[in-house]
Amino acid sequence: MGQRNEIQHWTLIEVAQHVAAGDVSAEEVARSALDTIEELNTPLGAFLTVTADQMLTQARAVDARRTRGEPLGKLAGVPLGIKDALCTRGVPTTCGSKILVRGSEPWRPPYDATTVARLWAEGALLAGKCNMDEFAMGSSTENSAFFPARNPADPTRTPGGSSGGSAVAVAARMIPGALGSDTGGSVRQPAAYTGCVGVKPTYGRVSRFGLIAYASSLDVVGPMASDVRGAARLLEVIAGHDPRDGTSLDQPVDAYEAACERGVRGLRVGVPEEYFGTGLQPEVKTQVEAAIHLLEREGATLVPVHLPHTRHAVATYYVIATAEASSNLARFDGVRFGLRHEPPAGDVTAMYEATRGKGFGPEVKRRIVLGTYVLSHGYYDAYYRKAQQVRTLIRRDFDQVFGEVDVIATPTAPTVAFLLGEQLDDPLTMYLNDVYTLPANLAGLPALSVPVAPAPPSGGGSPLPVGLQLLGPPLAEARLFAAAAVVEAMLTSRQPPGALSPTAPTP
Amino acid sequence: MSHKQLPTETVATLLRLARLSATPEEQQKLSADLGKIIEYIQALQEVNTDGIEPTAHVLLDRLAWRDDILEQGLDRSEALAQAPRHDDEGFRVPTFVED
Repeated sequence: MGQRNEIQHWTLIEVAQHVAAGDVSAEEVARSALDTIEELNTPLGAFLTVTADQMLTQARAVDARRTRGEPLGKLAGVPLGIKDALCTRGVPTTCGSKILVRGSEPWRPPYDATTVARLWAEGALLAGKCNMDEFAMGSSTENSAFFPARNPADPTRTPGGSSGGSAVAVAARMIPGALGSDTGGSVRQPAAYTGCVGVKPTYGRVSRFGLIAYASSLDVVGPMASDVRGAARLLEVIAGHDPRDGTSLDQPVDAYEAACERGVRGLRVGVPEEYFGTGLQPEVKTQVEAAIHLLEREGATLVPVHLPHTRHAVATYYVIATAEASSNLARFDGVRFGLRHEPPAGDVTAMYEATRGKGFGPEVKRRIVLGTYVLSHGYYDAYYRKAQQVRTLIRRDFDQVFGEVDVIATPTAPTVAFLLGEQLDDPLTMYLNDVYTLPANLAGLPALSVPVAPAPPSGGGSPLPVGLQLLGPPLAEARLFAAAAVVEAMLTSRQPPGALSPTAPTP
Repeated sequence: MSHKQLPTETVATLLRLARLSATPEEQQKLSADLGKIIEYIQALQEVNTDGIEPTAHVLLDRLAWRDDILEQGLDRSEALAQAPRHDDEGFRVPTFVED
């Protein structure tokens, strides 16, 4: 028990180091992770599938390599969670939806996503597939077709979403790292709500081959980890050109982990007024501003900047993302995989309608129908084309500001984690959670969320995690890691709240 | 403040276009929710976008074409294995052309 607690508190890099040094076997690491998952997954809902057998097989392979004296990868023996939107060969993959389950049989992809294959090539272990909002549509993981995930800091609250399961698994120390996907903030917002690090890379920086598509002009795969360096190492492994993804950039990958040692002396940090106004919870604002001043104390220069089109980001996003989703989700038609419903004596159209009607949950239907509306004849110019033009203005705001500053610092989310059920009946309020994270997706920019000091919810109560968001120009991820590592170092002495973490006595 | 509903006939048309069945209760909810959301996205009309090019995709100009080389794809039996209905050659669907 004592050793398990110790292993579960290692960072991803510490796990890899201890395994490489032979202090612990990969199998012991895997068993420790499985024990913790066993204890915490039922109350917290982090994993949809736990892959114990696969993890132990992968762990024994790592141990065998070590015994034979063969070189070990950068993630050798590190248990990771994979958002259920990423394909894993032979392992159930549902994207949080019942449309990918027939009878009691979930879909098992015949191939691995490129990002997943790259993790295995470095010796990582698959702990399981993480819970998520259905088709990544949501900000609380309550839209999972199976069960909601809960925030380890306060299980009556959501962990955010849509990569909520990945965030919970990391924040509750079941595993030191995970992959998520971020279309409008789905890695960064749950990282902020649960107190872990979440990175949305530059659009095209990471392959999307094997990522189940939601909105193709916005989707990216991103790492989550219990610390900044762990997230940096994961990104180094998954980033880079993939001939199987025509939208992946053929550009060299920077040394992100090394960049964490760089510091922020001379770094120009833009602070946009539009991200600190109405709607931002005062207690969150205080902690985010305090973290920005820490950067200044460490040698950065703060520059007030303006991003005037920020207030249109939510409307722009919900036109563009739903339009793309209505097209991408056409592939779930009951023909090739997953669910099928055939009404008696019905034709193929009746089969499509019945399958999709039964297979998709309410938020997915809402977005498909909205997307169909904004693309339909007579509304295309008024909504879809208009939103694409506003998207250009949002991009230009950033282009202009990045002429003056190196990074932009903002809150990741306007509040601390909200209560389960609090916003479920009000889709528009739920959408407004993403007001600070959507612009990076619309502009294709890299952004990350790093924990700062916690803040109480607005009605009072125990402090909850808060995230600082850092944004950079395209391919400037290294700069974001440098600044995030400084924030992390300043705040390390303060323990993030984790009522259900393995060391804390469970209530 | 009461929100405008999207007419139920419009919702029915959209559901048909999207090949989605929905119960009457779901249609009512969609009508109310979409009315509210469309009212919100209406605010985009205030933005002056005269002469502004639309952004369909970022960074497309930096992307390279791959060489057009034939590669081994997914094996047919593997591709068919998880289909709800299939035979040795392909996916099976209900009739859509009259015999």
